[in-house]
Amino acid sequence: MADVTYTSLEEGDLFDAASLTALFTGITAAVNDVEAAAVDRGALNEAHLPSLVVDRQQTSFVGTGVGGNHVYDETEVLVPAYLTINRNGTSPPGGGNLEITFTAPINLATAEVGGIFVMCNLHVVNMDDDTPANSATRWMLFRLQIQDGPGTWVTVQRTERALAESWASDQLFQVGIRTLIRSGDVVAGGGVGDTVQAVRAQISMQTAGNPPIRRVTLRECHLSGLVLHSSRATP
Amino acid sequence: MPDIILPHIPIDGAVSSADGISQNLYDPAAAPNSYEVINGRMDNANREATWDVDTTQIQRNGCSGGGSVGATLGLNYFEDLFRSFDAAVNDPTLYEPIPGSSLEFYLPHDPALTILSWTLHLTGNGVPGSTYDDPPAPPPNIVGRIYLHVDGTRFVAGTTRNMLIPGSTARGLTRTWAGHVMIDGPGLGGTLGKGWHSASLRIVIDPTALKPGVQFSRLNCRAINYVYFS
Repeated sequence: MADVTYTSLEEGDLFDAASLTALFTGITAAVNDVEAAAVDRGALNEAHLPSLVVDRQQTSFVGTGVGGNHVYDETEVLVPAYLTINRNGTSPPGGGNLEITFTAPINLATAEVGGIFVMCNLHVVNMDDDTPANSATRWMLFRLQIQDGPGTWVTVQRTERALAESWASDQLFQVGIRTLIRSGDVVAGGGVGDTVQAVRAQISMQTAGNPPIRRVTLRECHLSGLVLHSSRATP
Repeated sequence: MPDIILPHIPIDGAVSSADGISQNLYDPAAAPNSYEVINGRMDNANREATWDVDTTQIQRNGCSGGGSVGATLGLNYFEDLFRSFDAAVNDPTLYEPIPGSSLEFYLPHDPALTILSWTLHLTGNGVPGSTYDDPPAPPPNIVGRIYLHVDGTRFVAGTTRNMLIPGSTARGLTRTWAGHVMIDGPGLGGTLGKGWHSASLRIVIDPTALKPGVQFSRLNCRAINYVYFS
């Protein structure tokens, strides 16, 4: 009931509480239940709609304070294994994970949520063993994982990034990852369903196995996730 | 919230109140308890529950917006610009906004959040063996540093976001700095609300850095972007 209709009382009509209330009720119902056809193109703005933001989470490893670097070496992780970045300014482990958990699990199969926009920046200080000949065969790798409804972590393959070691100098390179997590990413990664509970960032490295031990030193790291309402229809 | 709930319903046998009926029709002090809601106060609560909002029904930039600036022209920053800089004090007012990495933007309404993101490519000189700890104990061989500033203030909410320009044994090695931050607006309890704002990457070159010769940094490609969501 969208159109506001008001039927005037005619001479001879009963004018009592019920007839008057019926007139009011008709108008109230029309205003309280506006239907789609009553809303023209471009009629709505931020004043009419709830926030686009369903949820947002972000976490940071500060890293720039004294002792803010954190170090990972090949004795603890080598491809194909990955290790969650997990030591905020400490080595060996002592910090929390570079991980965000949403207020409530996000079901990506609903019409209201189209995806989760994830941004990750990892500040690489270096991967360096001071051996020029090794620079072509030493790599550090990063990726994002998402946690499905049952709690299994699955990999989003397209988020993998790699950086070669630098023998000459510290790299100080920010590895940036931007991606939109869609419902199909859970199953594509080997998970179940369309729900995402959390996102985390991981590190690995590839080396030729010759001494000395290769280490990757990271500084500040930032991971953010933004869940936005989406529109059901296309323009 | 503006679902109309009329407070004065006529009852048979009761004396009608002219004030009550009038308030049903128009009472801006009691919204949503009058038809005054129609005067621009209708919102999502007035939507019939059986339909979802369509993209075409939303005004352009009605619920989100954004912009960006960038530059590719090389910029050299020498220590002469920053003679009064003291790394131990790290005075934010001595930092210089970087053209191509600075923008002013207008938020037409209180957003839920604003995202800033940036990337910057630079070359610095210095001495080998740099460490990268931040003040208050800056190593003497950091040539300079770049911070994100929001509304003229160094951004430190949650974490500092900076780039230290390192020393290098091989001159001409370049560095890439990128980053992002989500800043809550009033909709989520933050303060970045309606009105004009600025975001900029600002640089300082430390004239006391422990290196023979002139301290400088050359900035290459750079950009900064903002996006807001209601």
